[in-house]
Amino acid sequence: MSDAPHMAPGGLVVDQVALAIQTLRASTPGHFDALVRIDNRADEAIAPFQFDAARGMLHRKGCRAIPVNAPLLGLAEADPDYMIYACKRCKPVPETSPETKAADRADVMFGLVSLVDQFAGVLKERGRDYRQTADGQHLGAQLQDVYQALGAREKEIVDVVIGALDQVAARLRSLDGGLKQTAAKGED
Amino acid sequence: MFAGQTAKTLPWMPDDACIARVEGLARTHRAAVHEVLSPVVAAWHPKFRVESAAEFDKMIELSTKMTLVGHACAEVVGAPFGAREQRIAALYGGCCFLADSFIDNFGDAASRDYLRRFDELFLSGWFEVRTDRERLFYVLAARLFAERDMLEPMVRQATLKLHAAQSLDALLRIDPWRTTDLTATQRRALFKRVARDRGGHTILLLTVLVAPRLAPGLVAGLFSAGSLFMYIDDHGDFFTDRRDGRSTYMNLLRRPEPALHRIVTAHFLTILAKLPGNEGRDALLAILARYYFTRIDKHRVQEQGGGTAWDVYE
Repeated sequence: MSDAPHMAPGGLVVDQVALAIQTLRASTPGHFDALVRIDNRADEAIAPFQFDAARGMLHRKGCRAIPVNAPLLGLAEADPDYMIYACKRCKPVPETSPETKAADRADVMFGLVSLVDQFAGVLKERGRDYRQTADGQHLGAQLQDVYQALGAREKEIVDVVIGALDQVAARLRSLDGGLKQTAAKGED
Repeated sequence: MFAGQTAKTLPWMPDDACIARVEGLARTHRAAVHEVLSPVVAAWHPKFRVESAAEFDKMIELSTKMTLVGHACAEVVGAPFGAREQRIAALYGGCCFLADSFIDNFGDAASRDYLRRFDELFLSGWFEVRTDRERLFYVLAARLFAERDMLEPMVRQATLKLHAAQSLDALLRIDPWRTTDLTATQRRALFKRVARDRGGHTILLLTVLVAPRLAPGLVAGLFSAGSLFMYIDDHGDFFTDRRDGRSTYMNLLRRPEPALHRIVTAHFLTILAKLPGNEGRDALLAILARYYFTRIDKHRVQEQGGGTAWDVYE
């Protein structure tokens, strides 16, 4: 594979970040599980409704009127928009989406903790190493240029966002540490 | 009338104004696709444009078609199609083209390995970049992921359904034993379903990428349009697919041209019945009609003189 390009205006910086993330697993084998899971077949398998994309018909899961090999989309809920396409045999009824559940918020929280736990240490280490390389110095100069080119208002936004992320990361690390201590005490 | 149009009639034909609009959009989108994809190719895989110029041109054409269809689908749904949606459609076209090339062009062992690695990408987000072509694919995918929330349930499901249909298509080619116990009728039915699902899920994913709110009443009409693209495409590639040992529904038929005409007629009627009459539906039907006539020509040209998978018929 040829070397990465050395000009990096705008989107190419993002490309380099995306490619750098993929090298994390190779550099620390065994440490990482999933980065992001697009595959939601497990959710689809337990969805109570199935929408036949070829015929445009909504069924309850397992309805005997579903044609063999129909291209089905799983639906966790069916809002009233779907009811005019409801199968007359299994007669699915609308289910309104509940407001954001406490469990969803907890999932988001655990997701954040796991990301910080998974990446914070290794990113900092890699960032320090990368800063010393020729590529890193080149990228650093370009990031400086990009930052200099921003207007005062844009700089303010970037500073606020980075500051907030830093605070979130620090808070999560301390929370995570607290949780681990509590868990350790519980095991004693 | 389109250039190369035969005397065959369809249930709906675009008027001159509609043809002119679609041709104008094709020009605009081709230029936009160049603007989106060429700098990425130049940065991450510059040899691709030089050493595989015909393939690069084909990628631009496929992405232009994808952008044109994406524009029509957005209009069908009633969603805006601006610079961002244009960029999303172009990136999606580039990703589809390269992903297909990984699965189709590097031998059976590589096909199996790529299917496994795509499974891993969708399950875990990891994709070990090994070649310049893979790096180009991954950068295009990363840019697409940055433009659109890929964790939205319908986007995730459409992505996985498309991947499953592509995988089945590839495995039927790699492992001929999978169909040896089937009768000829069963084989045709299986390959017809594979083409239906590949095309149908391709257009559903494209639509939910460019138009986040897809009403359930539009799904069947769009799915039908996507499937029709695949049947037409397979008819155009009838001879190259046979030469490459790839079975499709179209190249299992003894008289594919009349069969395709029946399929086009039936799908046009479905689209007319399922999609609301608006500029988007007209554009989608006009693109399909043009595609149908040019692929009939491609089939005839390749029957007489051969050809390659990279030939562009536009």
